[in-house]
Amino acid sequence: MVLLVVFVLFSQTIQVVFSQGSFLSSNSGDKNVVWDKWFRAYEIVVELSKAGMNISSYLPSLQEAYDYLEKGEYGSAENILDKILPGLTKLYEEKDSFVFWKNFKKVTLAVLIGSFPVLFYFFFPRIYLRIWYKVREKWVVGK
Amino acid sequence: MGCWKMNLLDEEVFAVILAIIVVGSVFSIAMIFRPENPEPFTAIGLLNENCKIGDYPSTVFNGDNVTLCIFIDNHLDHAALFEVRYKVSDPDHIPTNTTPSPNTTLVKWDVFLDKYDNTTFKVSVPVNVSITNASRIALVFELWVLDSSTRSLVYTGRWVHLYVRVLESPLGG
Repeated sequence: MVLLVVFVLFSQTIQVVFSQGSFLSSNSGDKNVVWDKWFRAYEIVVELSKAGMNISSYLPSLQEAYDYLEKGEYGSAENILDKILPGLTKLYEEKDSFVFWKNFKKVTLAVLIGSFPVLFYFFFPRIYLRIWYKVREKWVVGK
Repeated sequence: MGCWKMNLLDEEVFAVILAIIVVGSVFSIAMIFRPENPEPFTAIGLLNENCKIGDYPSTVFNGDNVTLCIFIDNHLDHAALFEVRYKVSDPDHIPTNTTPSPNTTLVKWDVFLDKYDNTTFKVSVPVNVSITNASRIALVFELWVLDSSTRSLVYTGRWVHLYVRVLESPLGG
């Protein structure tokens, strides 16, 4: 009778632990899911750095997560990835806007530089004349 | 251009200044729109135990570890994960620009490098070979990079190797 009670209590405990899912998911993590998360983070980092965004602050975490994955410590790797993925995803959403403004600045600068010869052609003679007369306005014709 | 100013500003001088400004502007615009990294590449280098070029070990005892330094340079247009694979090879099976050495990887190191970043790190590699007396072998270090599209490590075609003569340990180890 005692054995039966102990067995029932034990099986209920096991059931509670596994039904919550916290025991397995937080400590060990699923190998494929964690690798997939890591690759997703890696793909985002590659895309963002190609676009010229600064992602250097994420690299140590990504390296650390990779080292954990190599050691088979999937839970620790997943914890790191869960911390950095929201930030990376947010940056990824800003990528298009970043690229637009980067190109906009380039084009604006090019237009400014391109307009300089035209401005020089029209305004330099006038400015030169103005300065020329300014410098000589107090000159007196000698006898 | 009216004649009214020609007495003051010489036409030819003005044309020369204008030409210099036009050329300068075109060059500046070309610099703005030039490709950021027209020739992406990766590099691996082998340095001695003090992380300097030269003075490499030429003879090692079988079973000993050799300390060297590895230099990696990421000149790709993006951050990447690099893997250096250490292999021991006979002179006939060193890697080529397209194929890695067929020998087994003995040790590997994984390094994340940002765009245009480089790193140098010390490694201690084992030399354990079945040798005939005074065998000449190559300590090979291959550079692999993780390709994000295929999610696999790809051989970059870059490697370094150091020929050493392996002697039986005097202690019989």
